[in-house]
Amino acid sequence: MEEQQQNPSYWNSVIIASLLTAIVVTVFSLIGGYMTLGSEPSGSFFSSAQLFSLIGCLIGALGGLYANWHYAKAYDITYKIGKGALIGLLVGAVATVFSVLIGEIWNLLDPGFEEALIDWNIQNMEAMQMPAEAKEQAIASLEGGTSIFMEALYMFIGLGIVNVISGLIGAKVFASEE
Amino acid sequence: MVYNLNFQNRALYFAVLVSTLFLVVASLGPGLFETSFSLKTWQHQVFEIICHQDAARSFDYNGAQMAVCSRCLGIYSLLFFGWLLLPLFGIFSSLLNIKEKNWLIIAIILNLMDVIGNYFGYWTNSLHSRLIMGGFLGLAIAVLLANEFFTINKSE
Repeated sequence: MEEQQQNPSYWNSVIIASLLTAIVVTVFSLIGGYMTLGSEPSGSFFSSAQLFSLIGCLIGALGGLYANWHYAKAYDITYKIGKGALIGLLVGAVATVFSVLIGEIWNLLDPGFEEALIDWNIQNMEAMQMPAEAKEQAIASLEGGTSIFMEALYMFIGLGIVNVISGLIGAKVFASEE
Repeated sequence: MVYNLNFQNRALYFAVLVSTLFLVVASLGPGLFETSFSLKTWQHQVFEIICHQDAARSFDYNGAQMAVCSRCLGIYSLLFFGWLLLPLFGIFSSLLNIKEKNWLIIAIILNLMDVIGNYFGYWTNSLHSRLIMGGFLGLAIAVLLANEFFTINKSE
């Protein structure tokens, strides 16, 4: 009992932060995707739709910070920075699972979305002013799919590392004994 | 008076060092290893969810678009170099009683001002200015965390 009071579980904070991270990142990327599909492929690299993914990407890196803030405030505790890093890593892992799940659910709701986005990007590439060889290679890379396992692995590596760093910052700022 | 440099949380220090080195290598994109115009390399996929990867806001390396925008490249690169210099930051932090949190707050405000000013057309930022701003943020993170790993002990 005493152990529980001194060392309360951080899973609540991890799950809340992961869910928030996954929802915000996925929703912003979906909104950006639909805005892209609603525009004409002009051969431009940048579209206003990408502004949405710009905000989403910021949130993706802040999950570890939020989880540490939530954990430290909920129990009014201080702890070592290593625990903050662990919380950040767990947020990265759980957010990856949630993101993949939300993505798969969306694929069931709108099965043509991903295909349409790939087609749009291919048309956009074709309209670009770049060497033919480069264009072919870029289009081929868009057409080649990645397995869901590999997608999740890449996502976990990215989210895991940046959330460990934001977890370290969160532990230092919100849970440090200083 | 004798000063001793304490090095704690060693495993975490080296884990973060390796991770940030990985971030820097991966963020340079496929051009580091080959000449490629592919937009779906492992480097691009690792950062897909944490960076907008806008080609107009990213450097090219060896003909290939880097895997992150110039601001993210600045953050990761200077965080890595800052992490290498962490003992030095730890010494300064202990001896000079630096308020590390202030540096992070200043870096965040500068980056926000840069983004907002550019968005509303007060100025136009460039690849290099975003790289420098991001780098300042990366360095501020290293400074903030320095005395969790390196501290100075004073003894008679």
